[in-house]
Amino acid sequence: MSADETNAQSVDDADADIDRDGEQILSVEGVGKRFSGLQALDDVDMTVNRGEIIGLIGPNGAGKTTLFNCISGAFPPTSGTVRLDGEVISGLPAHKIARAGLARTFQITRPLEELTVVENAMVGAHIHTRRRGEAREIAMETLEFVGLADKAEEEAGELTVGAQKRLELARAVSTRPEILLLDEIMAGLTPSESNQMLDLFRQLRERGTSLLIIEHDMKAIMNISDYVKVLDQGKGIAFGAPETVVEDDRVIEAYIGGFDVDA
Amino acid sequence: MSAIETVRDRYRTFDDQRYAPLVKGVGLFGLLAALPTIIEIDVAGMELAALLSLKVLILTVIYAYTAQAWNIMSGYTGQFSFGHAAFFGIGAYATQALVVDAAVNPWIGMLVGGVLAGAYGLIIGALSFRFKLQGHYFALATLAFAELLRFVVTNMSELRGANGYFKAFPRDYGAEYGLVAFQFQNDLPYYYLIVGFLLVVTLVSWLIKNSWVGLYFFAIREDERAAASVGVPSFRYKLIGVAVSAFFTALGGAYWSMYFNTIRPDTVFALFKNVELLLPAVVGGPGTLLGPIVGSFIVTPVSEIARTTFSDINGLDRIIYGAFLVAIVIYSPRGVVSWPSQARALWERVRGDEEVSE
Repeated sequence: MSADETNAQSVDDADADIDRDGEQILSVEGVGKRFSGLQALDDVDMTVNRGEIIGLIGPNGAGKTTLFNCISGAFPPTSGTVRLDGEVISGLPAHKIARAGLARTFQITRPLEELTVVENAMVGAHIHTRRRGEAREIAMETLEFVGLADKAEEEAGELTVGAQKRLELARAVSTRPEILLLDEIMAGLTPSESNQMLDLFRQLRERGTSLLIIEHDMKAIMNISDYVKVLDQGKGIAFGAPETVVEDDRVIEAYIGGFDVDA
Repeated sequence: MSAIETVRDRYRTFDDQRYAPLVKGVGLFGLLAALPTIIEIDVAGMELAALLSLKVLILTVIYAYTAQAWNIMSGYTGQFSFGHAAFFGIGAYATQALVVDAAVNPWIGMLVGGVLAGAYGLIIGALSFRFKLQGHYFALATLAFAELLRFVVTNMSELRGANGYFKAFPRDYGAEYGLVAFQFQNDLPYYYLIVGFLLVVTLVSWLIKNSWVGLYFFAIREDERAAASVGVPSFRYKLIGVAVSAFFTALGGAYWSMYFNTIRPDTVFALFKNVELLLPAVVGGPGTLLGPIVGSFIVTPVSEIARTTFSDINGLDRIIYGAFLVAIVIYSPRGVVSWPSQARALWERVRGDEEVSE
């Protein structure tokens, strides 16, 4: 519904024409972020509906991770509003946003190194229960899901890069979020690991979890996303189905001189 | 070889049992209870008691207790406190001020001290965490808060300034020597009492460690941002850690004030007390349940024996503390209790290499 409420001045009002299914989970309205003189984000609008997979792309420094940080409460936006299920979450601390049903992963994985793999996942699961046994069950389910169950008792700091990425996902998934923000979780994975990851994304969607994904692997993101949002220099410049976005002049322009779009 | 492996496998099966922690606890505290008898056993005309007196044992268990209390905050949540003398001193002073000046039973004074210390901990924590002090800066802030108290108490005539308190006789507060009076006529009951204190704080520490609270503490220690991203309210849980730790540290100070005859600002609030209270945990293994106890049995007797044997060398015990601290921080930051598993890992690596070369 708020798709047609988007600011008329916004360049990416293309999404007003798109007919999307499902109720709105996340809505980002006019979000801006300023770091002492640098306007990292400028009036960004976007929405995610239930069960959607949305790709967030843009050249380096476009503000993708900054947008994630604003949404997930790592820091508050300097302007604009973020709503989760209709409730305003911008300005809330990260732990409250997590409890409201939004989980995220970090671009550079942040395993709780001296804890075991299952304990890492249990920290997330404790959102739902204070009982250790129940938290362990939820944690083991998610480890099973991401394929780390056999490493449950290993120390998280000793995992390989691929396994750490999956643990990052498992910790977020064990909070049973309504929407997951994934920040370059496929970076550094082998092609087969990437394919497994894409498969996990699809399964998460089937469970009703919405996904907002930052990824540099264009092929993967064009393949998995229902819609793609493009940021450039802190501004939203396009939104639409993957195949239309790659033909958008502004998007092509933004990427020229940056790096190749091999999609 | 195979015998060793059998023993190891048996131990692992035992370790998986629900009752394993209970058995280990009973074993450990049984050993502690038997220590006064053990040190008097005559082996070829030599008694361990010649080196390790009951007084040293009491000191050792006191510091095991305070290190265990420190560990709940600093070992578990990772917020390194260098100012636990503040809580220790509050416990000692609350107890003595109430006993001497108001004839209140020391057990009540001890609890008052615990609550006051918890409140002081909350103030330190709320201010430091609100302004996002971390690591060295947080440690320095806690030290400043401890030193602040030392200056204040030294200059407060209401708390008898630099002279401090001289412990009252039981009859002064309407009691007789015994548990109710918190005073005994010889050292043995004092020893069992502090072992009891240690048992309580170890139990509390174990309960925390095995609940969601402990997992949240560890998550905060490992990575506060990652913890917050999955719903851990780190500010609140850090405060819980400080308050619990401060409360129990104050109880240790109360015990100290009832065991020794005098307390002064430059003993219970001493700058060096901050080190003594935490060092066993750091040496033994911060964040572990056994570390503070093992650490105290390494650090305290050695420095006490050195202090009494070479009493003409002033400050030798402190040099030993310093040497322990430097050595452990550089060579084994996970503490002495990590040595067996490290040795095992090394052993398996060596054997693995042998098997490969065969």
